[in-house]
Order: sequence, then structure tokens, then C-alpha cells
Amino acid sequence: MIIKCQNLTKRFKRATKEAGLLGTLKSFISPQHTLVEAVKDFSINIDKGEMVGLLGPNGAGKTTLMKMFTGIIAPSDGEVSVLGFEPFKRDIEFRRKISLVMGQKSQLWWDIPAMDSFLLLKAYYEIKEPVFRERLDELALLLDVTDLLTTHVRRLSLGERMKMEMIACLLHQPEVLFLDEPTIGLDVVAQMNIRNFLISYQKQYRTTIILTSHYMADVEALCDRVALILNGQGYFDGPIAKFESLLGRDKFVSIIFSQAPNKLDPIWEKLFPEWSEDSTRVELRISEDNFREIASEVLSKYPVLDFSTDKLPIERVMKSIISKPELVGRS
Amino acid sequence: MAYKFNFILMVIAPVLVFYLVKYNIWSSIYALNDLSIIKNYTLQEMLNYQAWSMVVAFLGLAYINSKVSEDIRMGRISAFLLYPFDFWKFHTGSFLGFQLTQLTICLFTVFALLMSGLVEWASWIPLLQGIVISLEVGVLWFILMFSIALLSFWMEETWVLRVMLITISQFLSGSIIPIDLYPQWLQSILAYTPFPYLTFVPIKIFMGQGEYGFLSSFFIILFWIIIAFFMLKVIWNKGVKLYTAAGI
Repeated sequence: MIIKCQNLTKRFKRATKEAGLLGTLKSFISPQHTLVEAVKDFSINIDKGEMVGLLGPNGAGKTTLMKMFTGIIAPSDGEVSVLGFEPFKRDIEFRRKISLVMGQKSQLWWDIPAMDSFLLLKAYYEIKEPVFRERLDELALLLDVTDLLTTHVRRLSLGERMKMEMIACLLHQPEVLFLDEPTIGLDVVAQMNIRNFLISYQKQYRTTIILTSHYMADVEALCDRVALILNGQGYFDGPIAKFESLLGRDKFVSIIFSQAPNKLDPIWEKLFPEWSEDSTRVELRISEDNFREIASEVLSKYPVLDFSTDKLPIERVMKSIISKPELVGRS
Repeated sequence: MAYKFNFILMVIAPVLVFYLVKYNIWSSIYALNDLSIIKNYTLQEMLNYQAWSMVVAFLGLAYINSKVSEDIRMGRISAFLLYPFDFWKFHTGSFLGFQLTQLTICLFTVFALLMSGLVEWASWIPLLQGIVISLEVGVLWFILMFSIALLSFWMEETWVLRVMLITISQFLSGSIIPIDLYPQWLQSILAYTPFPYLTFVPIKIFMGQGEYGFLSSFFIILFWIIIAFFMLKVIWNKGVKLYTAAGI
């Protein structure tokens, strides 16, 4: 077991202040705090070579978990071990074997070319010159950034910068890679490039990868397994296929009409419709049992231009669970 | 181009401008009061003193690391907690690199001052001794600045404390007014603090004034470095325990 985590809890003391001048004076004389449980009784075990997606809305506790896994902060209660180390002790050997990429925060130095940052990292991780050159050439080629290594980081586009961040975090070939929203803010092509790179890298090196992302496409493309965290607590932990089928074997149907249909028709009531602005397009969730009947009724009643079906996208599953966590219960 | 201007404005200009201000102030004080000597200082000796003060400032007191505070406040210290290379090692390396640049600037400044006659040439030995003592002061100053910056673990803004230390140091270290012009009671108190060793003593060594012994000064500054280092370690250990990476 690469990562073992049992009843992990993290509490923060958060300062509060009433608005306005009076609030400021009160806070100066007698500061108030609330105790926030960012993570509560979270447990997970991850094996070598797994790719696990940590899903959850903003404020769920995903990043706090990542911080505890990497030793940036210490847990309040519970136990966690990564590669046999207690992360918060920040053993030098532990730090050599892990890496964390933060999509919202660059680790590279802005005012120098990425190559200079890589040379600094080479010194930090004590990577031998021929090994460093070989890895750098391979990674730069895979990510198609060989010509950009001597450009100042501040002059790179966001996608190019993220590729450099990837290189920076993989130069020392970590055994465990933590990715905190690695594709945030990137365009579709750049996201796809990063995903494809991670898939081929992981296949080659069997790195254990833990990923948090708001883009379901990341999770669907990269992860074998998802763990859902809501309000600091674990709600689901299992294969991604099981997560997708969590709400039954519903079909996801997308219909385009030549004319906007009657939105008040009771037929739409139990189908969770999401209408486009001009109401000529709708996305529905139809149970497999009723699919034929409902599909025939819609096709006969309304002028349909296009009708397509797919399995329920993971976003819809997430949305439903977030609004009704009791659908899955605690893991 | 931006980096070149930044370098000149941040590294060279403050010290140079401060020297020019002091040059004009002291020239005016002597002229307006029709003085030829204040205590043991003629105008030439006072201007000599201020020129060496600039040299000491370049080597010993130029390092002001605001990046440490920013790294802590913005949560960027998290990256250093992940690397197998400690945060303090990185900043020490940064300081040593900075000092190398400062040494070049200092040597150029000394050459320019000697050529222009703004300082009097004693001999090679006081010059080398002055450089060594100033570099040692630089280490002490780095530790003091780093300690203040680490208070960012507890405080939102530490720049005020930094400015306070710089301002107090400028008066009590002899950067603006030579310490031997102060009342005797103040000089006696200051002798038990590190302040005179930040500027006054290195200047006297540069000026070849033998009563401020090189070896005794070296070991006294070393003593203050050891005290400051232990204080830094305590602050760092307590700070890291408290640290919560905000904004990651």
C-alpha cells in the first residue's frame, strides 16, 4: 500500500470579524475564532500504480487532503502514511520520492528561463548530469517544448507554462505524483495534451497518481478510481465505472428541436431537463426501463432534428450527489 | 531592460542616494555653523567617514529580503516544504549570490572613491580587513532580516518591523552620525549591543584607526551572529509548526 490513510482529520481556527468599523474595533480588542473541520474522518488506501481522482466541490477538503499527503500541513487527528513515511515529518528521502503540481500556483521562477529552474531542481534532487539530460530531453519531446526551454517563464503561454511545471515535477521521477487541478485555466487542446502526456507517462513508469480536478474530462480520461469528498468527509471510493452508474442505468439524452417545444409538458417533469437559452435544445436523464416509451413519445409529439444518447456524464452524477449526498452514504 | 533598471534601482541607488544626502547634510552643517572641527572630525574626515559608510552599506547592510515574507504570506513556502532542499538553504544561497554582486559593486565603489579623492588611502591591510568585517556584518544583517521576515508566520505585514530596524540601526550603528559624537552614557550602552559593529567599527577599520582591533571586532561580531542564529532557529521551528499553507 503506497498511501494509507485512516480517520484523517484536520481542524483550522478561522478568525471571524463583523463588518464595519465597530466590528474592526471589537475584533482588535477581542478577536473571535471559529473551529472549522476541513477534513473529518477520511480514510483511503491506494496501491502502487493506481490513478485516483479526488472529486468534490469547492471547499470539500480535497486540497487540504493533498497538503496532508505531501507533508505541507500536519493532521489534527488520524494517521497517514505515504511510501512508509509520515508526511509531516518531511524526511529528506520522502521529499525525494514525491511531487506536487499545483495548477493554480506556479513553482517555476518567473524571471528566468525554465531551463534555469530545471538546473536548480537538478541540484536540489542531486540528479546526475547524464540522467538529467536524458530525462529532460524525453519529457521536453513528449510535451513538445524543446524549443521553449530557454524562454523566460513569464513569456510563456499558460499551456506552455503548465508543460514546464510537469517537467519540473517529473525530473526526479517521483514514485507518487500529486496533481492539484493541473489543467485549470487551460484551453481544450492544452488540456488534452496534458492528459495524453500523463497517460503515456504513467503507462511507462507506473507512477502512482492522485489527482484533483474540476474538469470531469480529466478524471474520466486519467483515473481508474474516484474518491468523492463532501464537507470534508468521504462519500464514495471505488472504480469510476461504478461511480458513473451510481444513479442507476440512466441514459443521457440530447435532443435538438426545429422549434422550441412546450416546456410545461408534464413529460419533462421527471427527466431532469436542462434547456438551452432558446429552448430548442434539451438534455435529459431517462431511465433505461422507460427509454423506448419516452423516446417514442418525444419523437412523435415534437419536431426533432437530432436525437443522441450516451451514458450519464460524470458531471451530472456529481451534481446529483452534491445536492443529495444520502444517495451514496458515507464510505 | 526591466531587470537592469530594477537592479540599479533596488541595489545601487538607495545606498548611493543616501550617501549623497549625508554628504550634503554634513557639508551644510560645517558651512552654516562655520565649523572647522566637530569633536575629532574635520569636514574632510567626516566626509571620509560617510564615504566609507557607503562602502560598508554596500557590503554589510544592503540585503533586504522581502521575498521571504511574501513567500510565507502567499503560501509559496509550500513548494520549499516539498523539495529535499530547505527554505533557509535557498535564501542563504540567494544571499551569498547577492553578496558576490555586492562585492563587485563595493570594489568598484572603493576604486572610484579613491580615484576621486573622496576617501583617503590608508593601506591595503585596513582595506582588506574592512572588507572582511563588512562581509561578516552582512551575515549578521542577513540573519536579522531573515528573522524579521519569518515573523510573517504570525503577522500579516512585517515591513514595518524591517523599516524600524533599519531606521534604528542607521542612528545607533553610526551610519548617519559617528557614534563617538554621541554622549558618553549612550556610547557605553551601545558597546553592549551589536549596533556599533554594523557600521561604526567597520568604518574605523577601513580608516585604519587601530584602536578598533580587527580580530577582537571579528570575534565580537561572530558572537552576535551565533546569538542571532539561535534566535532564528527558534522562530523558524515555531513558525513552521504554525504554518498553514494559505492559497495553495
